[in-house]
Amino acid sequence: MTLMVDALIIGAAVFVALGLGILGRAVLGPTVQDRVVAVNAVGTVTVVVIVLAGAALGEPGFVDVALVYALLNFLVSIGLSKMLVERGRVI
Amino acid sequence: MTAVGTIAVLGILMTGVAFTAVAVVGLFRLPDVYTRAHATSKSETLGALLALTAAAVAFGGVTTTVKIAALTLFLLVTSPTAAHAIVRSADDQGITPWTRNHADDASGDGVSTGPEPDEGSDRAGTWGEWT
Repeated sequence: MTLMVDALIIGAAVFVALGLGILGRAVLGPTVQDRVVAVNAVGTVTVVVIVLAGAALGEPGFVDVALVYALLNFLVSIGLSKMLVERGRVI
Repeated sequence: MTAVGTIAVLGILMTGVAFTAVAVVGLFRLPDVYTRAHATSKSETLGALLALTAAAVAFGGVTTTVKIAALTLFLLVTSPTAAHAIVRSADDQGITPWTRNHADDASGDGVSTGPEPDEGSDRAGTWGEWT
Protein backbone atom coordinates (compact mmCIF):
# COMPACT_ATOMS: atom_id res chain seq x y z
CA MET A 1 0.00 0.00 0.00
CA THR A 2 1.73 3.06 -1.18
CA LEU A 3 0.66 6.53 -0.22
CA MET A 4 -1.07 7.13 -3.53
CA VAL A 5 -3.22 4.01 -3.28
CA ASP A 6 -4.25 5.08 0.21
CA ALA A 7 -5.08 8.57 -1.07
CA LEU A 8 -7.20 7.18 -3.91
CA ILE A 9 -9.12 4.82 -1.62
CA ILE A 10 -9.72 7.56 0.96
CA GLY A 11 -10.79 9.93 -1.80
CA ALA A 12 -13.26 7.33 -3.11
CA ALA A 13 -14.61 6.88 0.42
CA VAL A 14 -15.06 10.63 0.84
CA PHE A 15 -16.88 10.77 -2.50
CA VAL A 16 -19.18 7.97 -1.33
CA ALA A 17 -19.96 9.98 1.81
CA LEU A 18 -20.68 13.09 -0.30
CA GLY A 19 -22.95 11.02 -2.54
CA LEU A 20 -24.91 9.87 0.51
CA GLY A 21 -25.24 13.50 1.51
CA ILE A 22 -26.59 14.39 -1.93
CA LEU A 23 -29.04 11.50 -1.62
CA GLY A 24 -30.55 13.33 1.35
CA ARG A 25 -31.78 16.00 -1.04
CA ALA A 26 -33.31 13.29 -3.20
CA VAL A 27 -35.18 12.03 -0.14
CA LEU A 28 -36.51 15.36 1.14
CA GLY A 29 -36.65 17.45 -2.01
CA PRO A 30 -40.07 19.06 -2.29
CA THR A 31 -40.44 18.97 -6.07
CA VAL A 32 -39.77 16.11 -8.44
CA GLN A 33 -37.12 18.18 -10.20
CA ASP A 34 -35.19 18.45 -6.95
CA ARG A 35 -35.06 14.69 -6.76
CA VAL A 36 -33.98 14.36 -10.39
CA VAL A 37 -31.21 16.91 -9.91
CA ALA A 38 -30.02 15.04 -6.82
CA VAL A 39 -30.10 11.66 -8.57
CA ASN A 40 -28.12 13.15 -11.47
CA ALA A 41 -25.50 14.44 -9.03
CA VAL A 42 -25.34 11.04 -7.32
CA GLY A 43 -24.71 9.45 -10.70
CA THR A 44 -21.84 11.82 -11.41
CA VAL A 45 -20.34 11.03 -8.00
CA THR A 46 -20.72 7.31 -8.76
CA VAL A 47 -18.76 7.72 -12.00
CA VAL A 48 -15.97 9.38 -10.04
CA VAL A 49 -16.01 6.63 -7.41
CA ILE A 50 -15.77 3.91 -10.06
CA VAL A 51 -12.78 5.57 -11.74
CA LEU A 52 -11.03 6.22 -8.42
CA ALA A 53 -11.56 2.59 -7.36
CA GLY A 54 -10.14 1.46 -10.69
CA ALA A 55 -7.09 3.67 -10.20
CA ALA A 56 -6.59 2.38 -6.65
CA LEU A 57 -6.91 -1.26 -7.63
CA GLY A 58 -4.92 -0.90 -10.85
CA GLU A 59 -7.80 -2.03 -13.04
CA PRO A 60 -8.09 0.03 -16.25
CA GLY A 61 -11.28 -1.81 -17.20
CA PHE A 62 -13.22 0.18 -14.62
CA VAL A 63 -12.97 3.25 -16.85
CA ASP A 64 -15.12 1.58 -19.52
CA VAL A 65 -17.75 0.82 -16.88
CA ALA A 66 -17.63 4.46 -15.81
CA LEU A 67 -18.11 5.62 -19.42
CA VAL A 68 -21.24 3.51 -19.83
CA TYR A 69 -22.49 4.67 -16.45
CA ALA A 70 -22.08 8.32 -17.41
CA LEU A 71 -23.99 7.70 -20.64
CA LEU A 72 -26.87 6.01 -18.79
CA ASN A 73 -26.91 8.80 -16.21
CA PHE A 74 -27.34 11.41 -18.92
CA LEU A 75 -30.07 9.36 -20.57
CA VAL A 76 -31.96 9.01 -17.28
CA SER A 77 -31.88 12.75 -16.69
CA ILE A 78 -33.03 13.65 -20.20
CA GLY A 79 -35.72 10.99 -20.20
CA LEU A 80 -37.12 12.02 -16.82
CA SER A 81 -37.13 15.69 -17.71
CA LYS A 82 -38.96 14.91 -20.95
CA MET A 83 -41.49 12.78 -19.10
CA LEU A 84 -42.22 15.30 -16.36
CA VAL A 85 -43.85 17.85 -18.67
CA GLU A 86 -46.73 17.25 -21.02
CA ARG A 87 -45.25 18.69 -24.16
CA GLY A 88 -41.84 17.14 -23.71
CA ARG A 89 -39.84 19.89 -25.34
CA VAL A 90 -36.91 20.32 -23.01
CA ILE A 91 -33.81 20.63 -25.16
CA MET B 1 5.09 6.60 -9.33
CA THR B 2 7.37 9.36 -8.31
CA ALA B 3 6.86 11.69 -5.38
CA VAL B 4 5.85 14.48 -7.74
CA GLY B 5 3.06 12.33 -9.15
CA THR B 6 1.85 11.42 -5.68
CA ILE B 7 1.77 15.05 -4.63
CA ALA B 8 -0.07 16.00 -7.83
CA VAL B 9 -2.66 13.26 -7.28
CA LEU B 10 -3.16 14.33 -3.67
CA GLY B 11 -3.56 18.01 -4.53
CA ILE B 12 -5.93 17.54 -7.47
CA LEU B 13 -8.02 14.98 -5.59
CA MET B 14 -8.36 17.20 -2.53
CA THR B 15 -9.40 20.12 -4.70
CA GLY B 16 -12.04 17.97 -6.38
CA VAL B 17 -13.35 16.80 -3.02
CA ALA B 18 -13.54 20.42 -1.86
CA PHE B 19 -15.57 21.50 -4.91
CA THR B 20 -17.94 18.55 -4.51
CA ALA B 21 -18.37 19.40 -0.82
CA VAL B 22 -19.30 22.94 -1.87
CA ALA B 23 -21.91 21.44 -4.20
CA VAL B 24 -23.38 19.36 -1.38
CA VAL B 25 -23.59 22.41 0.88
CA GLY B 26 -25.26 24.36 -1.91
CA LEU B 27 -27.71 21.53 -2.51
CA PHE B 28 -28.87 21.77 1.08
CA ARG B 29 -28.70 25.50 1.72
CA LEU B 30 -30.07 27.03 -1.47
CA PRO B 31 -33.77 27.88 -1.57
CA ASP B 32 -35.32 26.41 -4.72
CA VAL B 33 -34.78 23.94 -7.54
CA TYR B 34 -33.16 26.47 -9.88
CA THR B 35 -30.41 27.47 -7.49
CA ARG B 36 -29.84 23.86 -6.48
CA ALA B 37 -29.40 22.86 -10.10
CA HIS B 38 -26.98 25.77 -10.42
CA ALA B 39 -24.93 24.38 -7.51
CA THR B 40 -24.76 20.86 -8.87
CA SER B 41 -24.27 21.75 -12.51
CA LYS B 42 -21.22 23.90 -11.96
CA SER B 43 -19.46 23.09 -8.71
CA GLU B 44 -20.11 19.37 -8.82
CA THR B 45 -19.04 19.12 -12.46
CA LEU B 46 -15.76 20.83 -11.67
CA GLY B 47 -15.18 18.56 -8.68
CA ALA B 48 -15.82 15.46 -10.77
CA LEU B 49 -13.49 16.71 -13.53
CA LEU B 50 -10.68 17.32 -11.04
CA ALA B 51 -11.12 13.90 -9.42
CA LEU B 52 -11.06 12.22 -12.84
CA THR B 53 -7.88 14.14 -13.69
CA ALA B 54 -6.31 12.84 -10.48
CA ALA B 55 -7.27 9.29 -11.46
CA ALA B 56 -5.75 9.82 -14.92
CA VAL B 57 -2.48 10.96 -13.34
CA ALA B 58 -2.56 7.91 -11.08
CA PHE B 59 -3.14 5.50 -13.97
CA GLY B 60 -0.42 6.93 -16.16
CA GLY B 61 -0.96 4.81 -19.25
CA VAL B 62 -1.72 6.36 -22.61
CA THR B 63 -4.87 4.33 -23.38
CA THR B 64 -6.43 4.88 -20.00
CA THR B 65 -5.56 8.57 -20.10
CA VAL B 66 -7.32 8.93 -23.45
CA LYS B 67 -10.37 7.09 -22.09
CA ILE B 68 -10.52 9.29 -19.02
CA ALA B 69 -10.11 12.37 -21.21
CA ALA B 70 -13.11 11.23 -23.26
CA LEU B 71 -15.07 10.64 -20.06
CA THR B 72 -14.09 14.08 -18.78
CA LEU B 73 -15.20 15.75 -22.00
CA PHE B 74 -18.47 13.83 -21.94
CA LEU B 75 -19.20 14.85 -18.35
CA LEU B 76 -18.26 18.45 -19.12
CA VAL B 77 -20.84 18.54 -21.91
CA THR B 78 -23.64 16.42 -20.48
CA SER B 79 -23.84 17.40 -16.83
CA PRO B 80 -24.84 21.06 -17.42
CA THR B 81 -27.08 19.94 -20.30
CA ALA B 82 -28.96 17.53 -18.05
CA ALA B 83 -29.32 20.20 -15.36
CA HIS B 84 -30.61 22.62 -18.00
CA ALA B 85 -33.19 20.08 -19.21
CA ILE B 86 -34.43 19.41 -15.68
CA VAL B 87 -34.66 23.12 -14.90
CA ARG B 88 -36.49 23.73 -18.12
CA SER B 89 -39.02 21.04 -17.28
CA ALA B 90 -39.47 22.73 -13.90
CA ASP B 91 -40.11 26.03 -15.67
CA ASP B 92 -42.61 24.36 -18.02
CA GLN B 93 -44.44 22.98 -15.00
CA GLY B 94 -44.78 26.51 -13.68
CA ILE B 95 -42.58 26.32 -10.59
CA THR B 96 -41.86 29.94 -9.77
CA PRO B 97 -38.29 30.90 -8.88
CA TRP B 98 -37.54 32.02 -5.35
CA THR B 99 -37.15 35.74 -4.87
CA ARG B 100 -36.38 37.66 -1.70
CA ASN B 101 -39.61 39.65 -1.82
CA HIS B 102 -41.85 36.73 -2.59
CA ALA B 103 -40.60 34.14 -0.12
CA ASP B 104 -44.20 33.38 0.76
CA ASP B 105 -43.91 29.87 2.03
CA ALA B 106 -44.12 29.43 5.76
CA SER B 107 -42.02 26.29 5.84
CA GLY B 108 -38.80 28.18 5.34
CA ASP B 109 -37.73 25.75 2.68
CA GLY B 110 -38.08 28.46 0.08
CA VAL B 111 -39.86 26.38 -2.51
CA SER B 112 -43.09 27.97 -3.63
CA THR B 113 -44.89 25.60 -5.92
CA GLY B 114 -47.92 27.67 -6.66
CA PRO B 115 -48.48 27.38 -10.37
CA GLU B 116 -51.51 29.09 -11.74
CA PRO B 117 -52.06 27.16 -14.97
CA ASP B 118 -52.52 30.20 -17.19
CA GLU B 119 -49.35 31.76 -15.84
CA GLY B 120 -47.43 28.59 -16.56
CA SER B 121 -48.66 28.44 -20.13
CA ASP B 122 -47.89 32.13 -20.53
CA ARG B 123 -44.30 31.59 -19.45
CA ALA B 124 -43.98 28.58 -21.70
CA GLY B 125 -45.22 30.70 -24.58
CA THR B 126 -42.55 33.30 -24.02
CA TRP B 127 -39.90 30.62 -23.88
CA GLY B 128 -41.23 29.09 -27.05
CA GLU B 129 -40.22 32.14 -29.02
CA TRP B 130 -36.61 31.57 -28.17
CA THR B 131 -36.36 28.06 -29.49
